[in-house]
Amino acid sequence: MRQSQSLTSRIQLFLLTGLLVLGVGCTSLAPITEFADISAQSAAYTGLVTQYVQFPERQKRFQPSSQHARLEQMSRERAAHKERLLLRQALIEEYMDALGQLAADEPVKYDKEIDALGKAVAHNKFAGEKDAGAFGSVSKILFRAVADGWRRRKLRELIGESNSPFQEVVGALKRIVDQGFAGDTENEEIAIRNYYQPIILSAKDKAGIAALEEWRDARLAEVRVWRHAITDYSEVLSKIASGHQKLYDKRDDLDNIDLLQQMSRYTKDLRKLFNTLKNL
Amino acid sequence: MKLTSEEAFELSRHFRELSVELGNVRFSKWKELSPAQRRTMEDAEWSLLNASSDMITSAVGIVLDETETSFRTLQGSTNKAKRALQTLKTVRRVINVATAAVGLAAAIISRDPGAIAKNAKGLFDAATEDDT
Repeated sequence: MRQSQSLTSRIQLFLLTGLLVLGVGCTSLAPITEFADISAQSAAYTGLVTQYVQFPERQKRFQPSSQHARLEQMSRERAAHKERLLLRQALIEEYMDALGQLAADEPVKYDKEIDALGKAVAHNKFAGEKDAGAFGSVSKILFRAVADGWRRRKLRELIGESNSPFQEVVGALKRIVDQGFAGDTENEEIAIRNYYQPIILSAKDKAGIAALEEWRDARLAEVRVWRHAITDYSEVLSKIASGHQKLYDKRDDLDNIDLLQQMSRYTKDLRKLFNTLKNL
Repeated sequence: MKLTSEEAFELSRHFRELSVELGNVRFSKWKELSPAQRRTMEDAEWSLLNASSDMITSAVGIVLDETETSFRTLQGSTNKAKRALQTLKTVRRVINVATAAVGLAAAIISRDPGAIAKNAKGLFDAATEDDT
């Protein structure tokens, strides 16, 4: 009885010391996980890469056959970019996913295994039932504390060493979106005008002209939707880059309440943009 | 001399502007131009527009090349993070091994050959189980 009490006291002392050493009681990093999750989902939007690759083929509808060989060559060059562009998007998605999992409160739970260990200890008479129960409870808390501390260190390291290449990769994708994909939409609008305008100018029938103008406007409206997606996706990339920069700036203080609130705001903005992109 | 991505994007814009200006002239002077003149101008417009699109294609390729090193570095960091997550899962196996080892230790202390064999197998299974 006395021995059992002594063991329980030792366990309690062990628990207290362990908790103090490990500094248990960290704030939840859920806002970082949520930011990472929505960033991963939004970055994965591949619709614009498809538009970029299909652009030369679509142009054939508007351009004279004398230009088709050139467009086919462009098509081949863009097809070669497709995988590289998708890999960039996939990498941003994977990276944010890993970051989110490292920030998650309990990416892996050990409770079941620790209970089994406690039972094995009791079953094999290495401790009484009561002590085995205490052992289990202590172990769960300590294990969680150790795992949390280790995880946060890894998270800090990840953010610290990745920020520079991350900003470059996201920044490069944003330049491609802002200047390349957006440039395509401008060229598409010009092609639509060049195609319809001469027919309209040469037409005599008023009803025919009205119908042609309607067709032209419908085509231009399609381009506007595409342009909207470009603006939204560019904004997504800006938010992801800016959010990551904030994490980097505060990487030694990830529990910081201001930082977590900022992350929640980024998440809200990204969710709104993601929902718009999904519906385009 | 190789173009930078910025220069390629800039050229793309210039070619586009030229194409648009030429188009504006063709449409504003539509009635004054002969069909042959219109055709010549139109061909030039398409050529300039495609030059603009070609420059976009080149610029995208250059941006991808320019940032290949950062892409590889980030890939390395992501793989490292994935390994860290895997380590967290491996901890589960370590606990299972400890549980099996407790049983084996008890069997050895009790000198029960049947229980030793059974627990040794349990320990082996726990140590070799899949992490996932």
